[in-house]
Amino acid sequence: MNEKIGGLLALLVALMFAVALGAYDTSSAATADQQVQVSVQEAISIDVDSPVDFGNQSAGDTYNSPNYDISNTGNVKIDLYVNTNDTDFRPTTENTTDTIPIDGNYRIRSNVTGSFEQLSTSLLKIYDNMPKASQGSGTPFTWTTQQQLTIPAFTEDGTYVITLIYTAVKHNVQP
Amino acid sequence: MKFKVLVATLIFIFLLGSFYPIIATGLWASPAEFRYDLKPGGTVTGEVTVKNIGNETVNVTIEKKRLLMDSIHLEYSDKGIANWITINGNTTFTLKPGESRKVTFTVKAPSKINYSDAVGALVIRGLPVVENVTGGTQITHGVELVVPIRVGLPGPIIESLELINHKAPLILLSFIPGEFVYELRNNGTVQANMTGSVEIKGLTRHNIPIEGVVYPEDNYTLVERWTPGWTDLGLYKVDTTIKYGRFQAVKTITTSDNVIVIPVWLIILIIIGVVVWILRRRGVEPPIRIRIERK
Repeated sequence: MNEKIGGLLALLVALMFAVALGAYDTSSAATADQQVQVSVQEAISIDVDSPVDFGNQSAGDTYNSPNYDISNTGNVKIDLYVNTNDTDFRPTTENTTDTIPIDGNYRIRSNVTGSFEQLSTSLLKIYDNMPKASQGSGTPFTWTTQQQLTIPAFTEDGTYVITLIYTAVKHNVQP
Repeated sequence: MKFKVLVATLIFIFLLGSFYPIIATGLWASPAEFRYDLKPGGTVTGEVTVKNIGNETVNVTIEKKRLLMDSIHLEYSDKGIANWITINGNTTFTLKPGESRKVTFTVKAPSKINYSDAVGALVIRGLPVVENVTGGTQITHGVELVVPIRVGLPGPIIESLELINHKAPLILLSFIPGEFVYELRNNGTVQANMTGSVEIKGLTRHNIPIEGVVYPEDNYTLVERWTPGWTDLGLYKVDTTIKYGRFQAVKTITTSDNVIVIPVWLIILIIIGVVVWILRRRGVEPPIRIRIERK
């Protein structure tokens, strides 16, 4: 009895194999190749923590800002530059007349030199060839930096503000 | 008890960090650049999408510029190709977080120009709408994206890159970077695509690759840095080769310099030797004596 069942099962397996082979036999079927194409467009993008606050500090000393992040959120390598929108920190407090000149007083840590560099209204390169995030990673490439400010002695008390602008351009484009 | 207080403090710090709002200013633009081949007098239209990817509202300004760019500088000019570009529609607008806008522009090449390659750009700037400034010394961060518009025009192809000046350090110390500066000018009619290297040959060998693009009528400052390590010592020959061309880098500029590398460990050894020599000469006994005896 067992031999009969075994034989039947073997026959069934052989039949299934034959049917499967027939289904996949393409010798008599027509074939066509389909080429699929997709273009991925370039995007340039950056993101920076804002604002940065040096806090309430005494005049006549040098202070480092808290660390903050700048991220390359696009899909191309970039060069990163920075400049200020003004030559001085301007007071927002009423009746305050002093300003804090940035020349000689205001610096940013640069990835190009590894040290603090003087900020000005001209564009200063602070990162050469910042990578994009690796493909598929959920997080962009992020660089952490900080600023340094010397508040001149006898600067009037009050709140002083300035704007820093970070500029991204695609790294070293060659046609 | 102390352990529980420590755990509670850590949880409090963690929660404080979780609830502290992280404010970021961010812009996104696509495509990242435009390339056009135009005939004299020809016109083309392009479109760029700008998106606010930060979490605060930004005021966006778009300007058209000519780009002057080298390995250290990025400057804008209102001359040349800047006058060929017209931005259609508003050049200032506000974008809320997640909001985007399409901006179109037109490039019209002049019928008569004296160079064939030009690079302009859309400079897209986003500044946060500042509402409150509280205490201290505060810095607002804005972002700017440069989207180059590269235009090629038919005309005579003249490849001419001139080395106006170059500087190399005479002496370098270990771990202190030295700068090799090359001032170049493109006197041709087409962009000069540069490759090459700075070969530093002495007791050890180093190779610094060179790459960059100089556009017609532009000056370009190429800066290459080298920091000697522990093993670098003595006289080094620095041979610089800059190959350039519009399509293939077939023309060459070469320079040769000599640099003396003085390692820091040698300076320290000399100082220690001089101090020991002075002390011995004055008859000062060392405070510690070590005597090794054979058993």
